[in-house]
Amino acid sequence: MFGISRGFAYFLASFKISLRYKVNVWLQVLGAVILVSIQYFLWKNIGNNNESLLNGIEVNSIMLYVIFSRLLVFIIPGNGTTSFISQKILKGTISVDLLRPVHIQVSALCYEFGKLLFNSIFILVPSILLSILFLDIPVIKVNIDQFLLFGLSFTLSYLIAFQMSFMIGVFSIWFGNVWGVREFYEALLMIFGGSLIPVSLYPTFFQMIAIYSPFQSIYFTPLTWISNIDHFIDHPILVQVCWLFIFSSLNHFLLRYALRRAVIQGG
Amino acid sequence: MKRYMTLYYHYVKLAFKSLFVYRMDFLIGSFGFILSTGALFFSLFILFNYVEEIGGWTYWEVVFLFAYTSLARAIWDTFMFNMMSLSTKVIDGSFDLYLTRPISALFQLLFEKIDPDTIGELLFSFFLTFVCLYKFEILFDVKMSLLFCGFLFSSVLAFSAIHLVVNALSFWIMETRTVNFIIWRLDELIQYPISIYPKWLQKILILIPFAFCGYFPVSLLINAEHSLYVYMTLIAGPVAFCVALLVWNQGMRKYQSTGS
Repeated sequence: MFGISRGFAYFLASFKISLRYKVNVWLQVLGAVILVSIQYFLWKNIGNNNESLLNGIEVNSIMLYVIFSRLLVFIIPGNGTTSFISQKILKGTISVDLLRPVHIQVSALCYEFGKLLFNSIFILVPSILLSILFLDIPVIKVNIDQFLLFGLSFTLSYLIAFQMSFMIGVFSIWFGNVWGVREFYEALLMIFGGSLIPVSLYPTFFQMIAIYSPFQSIYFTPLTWISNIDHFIDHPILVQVCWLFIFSSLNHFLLRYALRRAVIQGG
Repeated sequence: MKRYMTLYYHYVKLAFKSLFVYRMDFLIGSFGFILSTGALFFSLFILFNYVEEIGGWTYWEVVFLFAYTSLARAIWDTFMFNMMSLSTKVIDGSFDLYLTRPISALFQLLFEKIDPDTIGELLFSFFLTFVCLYKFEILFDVKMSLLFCGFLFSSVLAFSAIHLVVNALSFWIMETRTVNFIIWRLDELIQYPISIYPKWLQKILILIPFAFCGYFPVSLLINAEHSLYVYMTLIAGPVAFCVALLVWNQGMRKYQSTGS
């Protein structure tokens, strides 16, 4: 169906492409560790000089939350997916992809999976190990249920982020250049997704907006499971499923409409 | 000199013209950039709802630090962003083009393009800095305002020096994208007072003159201190830039076209 088995070729290709730049990997790990240590030192300083509870949340939980959110940036789909599609549209090579027996969305997703595998093995795991080795990162007890829920929640957030980035890529049919839209999306992700600081700390007004936005489903929801922070929505995973459904259907129609409208620019 | 000025005028004119090619995207992007700078500011604001100080700095002091570093970086980013493309130019051989023209290659590299995308960020951080200057009563104090301008000039130079050295490495190792990536990460380190970091990290930040892009100038301005540090901060940028120029010249001497 949809040529998923054929999509495997894209998966393998993107994994191999990433493998070519092995030197980069160590520097990226270094970058990730720097990001983690900034948050570590910041929150350690805050923890030492204030009470251990902020708005009823333990500083250690917040520290874990922000550290993991900095690491998620490396694997959540974003730039890569957007330019995968927008480059094809701008250059006109999308005409070739449309002839292929793989649905364009499947190939984009498989391409992203390849990077996910690569980045998890070569960037995420080493960064976490190094951070644990050099910084004394707090450990909190997470039971197996929470961990499984995190897995499920992360999978959903991954797919939602993929759908949104894909959609921005499709926008390039109308805008030409989508750099600006992407910048805008990332800003919203920072504010309402809680990728900088947990949404639970926001003033009520901003919390309300964040709750009803799709952005919190991407960062906030999965991270709450592993950092013991309350996710003040009743059924966070159900909400994620809804957003995923909404964005998938939107994309489905948008892509169909866009392609009918597309005039391939010669290639 | 006059020739360089005219040239720069034309570069700027071209940059603004190319801006309007993708008008819609530019507008959304500028707004997005303001929003993402605003998001970082927003997270500081939230943080200070719960804490009194970070590393001994109060809310407005941290805001000033944030505004100052953003401004210095935005100035660099808007006017000298093109140096980031050196690596690509060396690899695909288009750097040779600069060498055939009768003006300094460095001048062309630095100023050939303006990055209009960051104009939103520039305006936002300028506005925020202005508010802080007012708040700390620096704005109406002629001496302090002059000092501020001097510091800012030095910080922008320090910023450029760091990035110039990193990019000049492409004369030796060609691919510098990842080193650039690390330097961007280090940028983030200085948005907070460096007093929250352990001693060894503070020393690194002073050595790579990142501490002179925010922490030192801002703390000197806030405390209106008149110590040796004032002079050090004022000359740190120019000195760093001279060092960067030396590295650049070495690189130019070493440069061999890839022939592609």
